Amino acid sequence: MSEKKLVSSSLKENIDYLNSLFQNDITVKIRKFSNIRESGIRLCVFFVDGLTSEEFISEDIICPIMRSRDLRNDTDLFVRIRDQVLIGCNIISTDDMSEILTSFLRGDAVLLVDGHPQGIIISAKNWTVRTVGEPDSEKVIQGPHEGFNESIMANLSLIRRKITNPDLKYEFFTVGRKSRTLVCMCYMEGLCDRQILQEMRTRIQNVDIDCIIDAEYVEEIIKDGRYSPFKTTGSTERPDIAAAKLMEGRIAVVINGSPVVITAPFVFMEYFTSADDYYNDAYYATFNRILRFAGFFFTISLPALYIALITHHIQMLPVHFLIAVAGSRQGMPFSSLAETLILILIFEMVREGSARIPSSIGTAFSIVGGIVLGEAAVSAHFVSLPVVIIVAFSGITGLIIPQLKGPVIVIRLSLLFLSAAMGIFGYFIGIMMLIFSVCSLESFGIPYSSLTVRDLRQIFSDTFIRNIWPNMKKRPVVSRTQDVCRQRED
Amino acid sequence: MKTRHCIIIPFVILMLIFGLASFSKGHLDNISVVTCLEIRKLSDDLFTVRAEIAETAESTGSGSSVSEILSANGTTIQDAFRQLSRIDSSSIYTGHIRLILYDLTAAREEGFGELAQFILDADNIRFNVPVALYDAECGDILEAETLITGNKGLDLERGIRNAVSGGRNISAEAFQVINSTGDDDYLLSLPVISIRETGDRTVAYIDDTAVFCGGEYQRRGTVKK
Repeated sequence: MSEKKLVSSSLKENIDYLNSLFQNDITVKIRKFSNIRESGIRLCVFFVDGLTSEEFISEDIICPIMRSRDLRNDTDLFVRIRDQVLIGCNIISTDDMSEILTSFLRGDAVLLVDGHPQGIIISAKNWTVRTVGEPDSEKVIQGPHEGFNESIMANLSLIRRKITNPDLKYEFFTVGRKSRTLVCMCYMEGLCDRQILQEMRTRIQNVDIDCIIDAEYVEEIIKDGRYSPFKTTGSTERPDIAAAKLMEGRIAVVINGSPVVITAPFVFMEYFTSADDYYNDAYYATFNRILRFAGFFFTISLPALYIALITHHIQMLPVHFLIAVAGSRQGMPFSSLAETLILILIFEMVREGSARIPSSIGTAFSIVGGIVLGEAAVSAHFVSLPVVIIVAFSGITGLIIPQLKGPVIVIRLSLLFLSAAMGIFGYFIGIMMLIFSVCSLESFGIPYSSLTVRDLRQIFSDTFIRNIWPNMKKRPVVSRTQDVCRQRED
Repeated sequence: MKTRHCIIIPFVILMLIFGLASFSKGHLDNISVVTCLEIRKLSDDLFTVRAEIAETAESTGSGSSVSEILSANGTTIQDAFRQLSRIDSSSIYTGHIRLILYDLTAAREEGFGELAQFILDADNIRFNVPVALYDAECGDILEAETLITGNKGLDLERGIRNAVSGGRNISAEAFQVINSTGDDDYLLSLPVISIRETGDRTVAYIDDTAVFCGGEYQRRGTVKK
């Protein structure tokens, strides 16, 4: 498909070519037919069964041409069929066979006319798509409950319904040498920074992979800090979030076949925000945001601090606590670090297992995995009770920010080993490495550690707390937009 | 990227080795937590050190704990303490001592030089540990019945704190004892604990105070509000 092949004027040659390409493929249908009055007008329509509406092909392509009484087998035949006979609203003619094949494999019908070296691509897509339901990973209590599905056009329409403005631009790319996946870059003209836009365009064009199945493929290829556990692009399955980010001057990348939309630039602080923050009142949203910060601290630090304290700094523990912990450690076969590691791994296995199993046995699995296993492990003196509490709390707080689950496990284990080796000193070395790692990252030229506010006076605008809407007059600084005001200034 | 890997990979391996082998001497599994240290002078060259060890195996989460008493003799306090360490298979951990009890008679006759030296030489006795005197002639404090937690060190320390906050006594800490040994004008007041039989029970009283100046015993009496 790399060299340009033109459509032949001989219908037989074209059909032979298609037959040779799709040998033994019963999903590829080729329907030959001719006009009732002029039997010399020979045509064929080919399509993929299951991707195309057979009803549309029969009624709006074959039937009008077959029954037309005005067709003459002359040089204008092709133009007349295209402009006067076909009813479909989305029709393109081309002589490029690769373009024809791409459209045909995406679900369009292709009409070829004998004696004319061109084909007509007619949009006739009709396949089953998932309904626009709320994504499980980003549920909100209050607010819109719709989510993207696997159809790029459906997803783009969901965004367009949120922003009915001609400045919303869609730019399409075909990515994937073999899969030829349709990718769309969405942005708001006038809001989006041109430099960031050009950078995104270049990165998408430079994606050189044979197949794109999901947005994560593109996300990992275009991200900054390739080896960093942190994401430098955002991802969402919610059209409201995608639209909100577009209105902040960011770029959204929609990929055919994936319900996940990539947004950029993305900064560390955005991990701690949620769609819910903007659909609930500011006080409740602020409280939740603080909980997320605390949850992040607890989930990465608790096991490490526990190990540091009971291994290297027992003098820092209150005496009653020390006696209680020492009592629970009596007769334990493993070191504190080993039992913490074992429990963390068990917790992660239970989490991973429960994510895959059918919901009907999920409850039983959670009970056996969590309660029975934990209780039995303590009773059998396999692990001590404080470790169960620490690991369980750390694990639960880790689920507060699902998007951070990858970085959290890396940071938690790194801090754990550093603390076990060097105590609190090791813990703070780890924390400093974490801060350096975050500060050294960039997302499309924007420092990853940026706050989303334009200046420090706005620090309490939409960062650690969520201010009320009348006070959030300016767009976030991370998109470098020139049009900074989103509300009229008083 | 290769240079970075060269730095990170050995670092991670070292962390794993040190981390998985992180059994330090002071690890919780191997220590006996001393909550109270009683030092008594038996004769000119014989000291007895008794340590109250918190019984971690039977401790409960409610803060109550029971304890066992270890005792050893030596020619100095340091020597007696060393003998004590040999009795227990675990490492004697003095970082959480809540009270040091010193023999009133020894303090009156010889001052605090020996005790101060012991505290200074000890690995991890905190300098803010309360120090109290006790009248050995009245009875054995560490064998006395305690009603609060079952741990004498914790109960007596709490009793001293209550007495101080109630204005019935004053407290002294290890650093004050140390300071008093090098200064002839240093005025040091320490609470004195005595044992009295009350009905069928032995009760510790913390209502006396002994006053020393430059390590020399001055007087004994009660604190007036």
